[in-house]
Amino acid sequence: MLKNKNVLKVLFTILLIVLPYSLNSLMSSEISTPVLNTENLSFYQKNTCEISFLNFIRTNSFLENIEIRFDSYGEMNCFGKIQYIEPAQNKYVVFVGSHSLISIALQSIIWLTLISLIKKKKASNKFILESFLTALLFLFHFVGEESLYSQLNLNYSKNLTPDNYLLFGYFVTFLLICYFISEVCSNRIENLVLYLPFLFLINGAFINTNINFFVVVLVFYGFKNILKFEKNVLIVNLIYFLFMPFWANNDLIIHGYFDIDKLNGFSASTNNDIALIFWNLTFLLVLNGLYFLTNACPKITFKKLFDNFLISGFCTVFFGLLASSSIVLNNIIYLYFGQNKPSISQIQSIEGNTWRGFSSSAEMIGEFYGVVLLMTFYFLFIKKIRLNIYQAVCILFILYGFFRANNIAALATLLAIVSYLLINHLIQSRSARLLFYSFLITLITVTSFFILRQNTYAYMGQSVVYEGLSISNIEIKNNDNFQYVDRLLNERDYLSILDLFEERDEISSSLSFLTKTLSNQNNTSYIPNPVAIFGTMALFINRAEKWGTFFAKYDPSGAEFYLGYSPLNLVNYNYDNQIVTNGLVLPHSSVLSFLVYFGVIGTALIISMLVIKIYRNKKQNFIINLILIFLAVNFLKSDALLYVSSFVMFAFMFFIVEKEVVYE
Amino acid sequence: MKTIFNVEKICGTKVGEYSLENIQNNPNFIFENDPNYETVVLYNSEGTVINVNSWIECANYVEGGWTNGLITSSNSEMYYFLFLTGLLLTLLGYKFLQKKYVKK
Repeated sequence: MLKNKNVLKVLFTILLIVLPYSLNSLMSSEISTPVLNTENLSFYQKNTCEISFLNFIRTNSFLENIEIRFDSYGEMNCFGKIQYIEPAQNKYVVFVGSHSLISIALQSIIWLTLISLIKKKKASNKFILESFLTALLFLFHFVGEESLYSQLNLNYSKNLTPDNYLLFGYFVTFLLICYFISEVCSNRIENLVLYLPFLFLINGAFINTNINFFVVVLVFYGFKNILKFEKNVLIVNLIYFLFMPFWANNDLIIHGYFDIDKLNGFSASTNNDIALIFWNLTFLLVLNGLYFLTNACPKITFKKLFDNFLISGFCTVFFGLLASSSIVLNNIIYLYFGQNKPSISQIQSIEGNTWRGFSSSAEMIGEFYGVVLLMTFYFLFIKKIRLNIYQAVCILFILYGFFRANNIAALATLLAIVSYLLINHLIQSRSARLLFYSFLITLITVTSFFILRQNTYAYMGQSVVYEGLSISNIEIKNNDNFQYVDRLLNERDYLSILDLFEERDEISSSLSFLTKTLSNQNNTSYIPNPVAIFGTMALFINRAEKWGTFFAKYDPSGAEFYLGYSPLNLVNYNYDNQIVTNGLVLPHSSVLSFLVYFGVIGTALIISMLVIKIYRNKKQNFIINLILIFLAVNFLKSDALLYVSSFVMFAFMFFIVEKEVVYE
Repeated sequence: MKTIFNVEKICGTKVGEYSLENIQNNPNFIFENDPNYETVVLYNSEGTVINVNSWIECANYVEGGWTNGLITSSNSEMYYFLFLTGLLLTLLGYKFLQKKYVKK
């Protein structure tokens, strides 16, 4: 009975994927479609919104010179049809009508249907107030990010007039989504967190919006958590609320539009008051929601969690390869897996960004596969649990994915942790272990020395400051000073550069601070300069250029340095100092990203909480501790915490480290 | 894309190379009639009517907000909103009745 039901659900999902893009094809009156070429281009341009996407694909699926874009700027009745075709260099850009209201509904139905495949258990199901608050919050978002949504919706208006059906439609859509979240998820609430690994497979980004489906789910349960009015929860939330007036009223330069690109659904696209309040609340509610769901799970069954990690890992590799095989499949996967960016269209390992699509960055997917492999090793060699054939196949795929992700940091951390586990497991004598560790540390130090000795310490120590000043707007054009500044930079005469620009704002406050610290004449002999150590480390892990760019861009005032620009707001970081970069350049370190969000006080607080939690639970839930350490080390040089799936996974591990975790 | 989409829908396919920017920057520009172009009637929001006799003239006016009256905003969003509201009310009603009667 249950199996039949699940088969029906899968069939329903497939129908939902195909039907909206084939509606016109089912009607006999549709015009026959010619093959797209220079001669027939005008046919498609004249018959806008007449030809269904499926019909177009049936005739043109063999073409390799097409790029498909889901375009929400059009009338609703153009949904699923060819809106326009524009010739570009060597290819045609095909715009498929994708009105955002229908896309949101369609994607939500499909993902909720997939969630409904999880075994259910009856649970209490109150939803009215939570649904209303969630829908209201996202309405707030729609109104706040005007510059983004007016580009994406033909009839966009933020005015509350009786004929603003787009706005009302948006509100009711979210009310309905919340209703169904409550119907589908609440009955499965005990098991829901065990399926979090699937967030790496289904990313949940609503197309042509800045909203993520799973963020909506967590916000809904976040409201539920707060509305329980538990003392501890209220205190933590109140502390956060105390910071909000500062973040919302901080005297920031307002930037109308920030292209969120791969940060879709988890970053502000503008920094006006409404947008900032929305993202401040969303960050808090996501954590509340995750906390609520984790507490709703009475016992964390690691076998289920591990299996889900394996299946999700296998599927990301499998569908990633599938997406690279055809343009049409690539776009279908992009849409229905809620990817932030389409997967790469070529099978070669390095084409743009290796695993773009299922993961916004190669680092993030490398870390995900690293976690799965760490768990596998732990259960296989330490806990002596045998794998079945399906698990073994999944692991083979994951190994391939890990290799393709090309994440050396994840590999090095994994090897370090595995070595630690092996040494502790195989060598019983404490003194023998110490000897072995000493040998390893010496080996690593000597190897590092040989790698680093290609450059002098003075050169390496200056790397971040040099890269930062190189990218800063310190050219003085139309006079001799241009060459003068260039010469000073090449001669590493940073003090003269600082003197030259002391009265101006070309050099960011953070870079100015680092440069002064590096060039400080009062440095004590034989005590290494902290900026020089930092620069050497950055160069060693290939982050000198990226972090140099970060400090060139990061230009906080005193208050912003201490308390941050506000959660999920990278707008000021990106634009305040007007550093021109090729596309979106993120901080390339989650710690630096959190420094932008929460300032030095907030970041220090978060790191302290993590360290204390890991230390306090060092003997309990050992594998969770290892995963947290593995991720934390990797986050030093990766932006993974800026993306929903990684952030949720890390926060989940943080929450369960004190919970009862059993293998089976 | 959006502008071309409307321009070509109203004025027909662009034939030849034109630069609208040059025209828009020159207030004294005079449009030449294209004998091969079928006259198009355009309206503005105040109901004023003009006839345009070349593709570029048509494109220039459409860029300025004139339409041929054929592109009208459809009511799809209104119908969609009403449909969703109806669905929501039905579901809530069903839920309410289920709570009240079925459990008893």
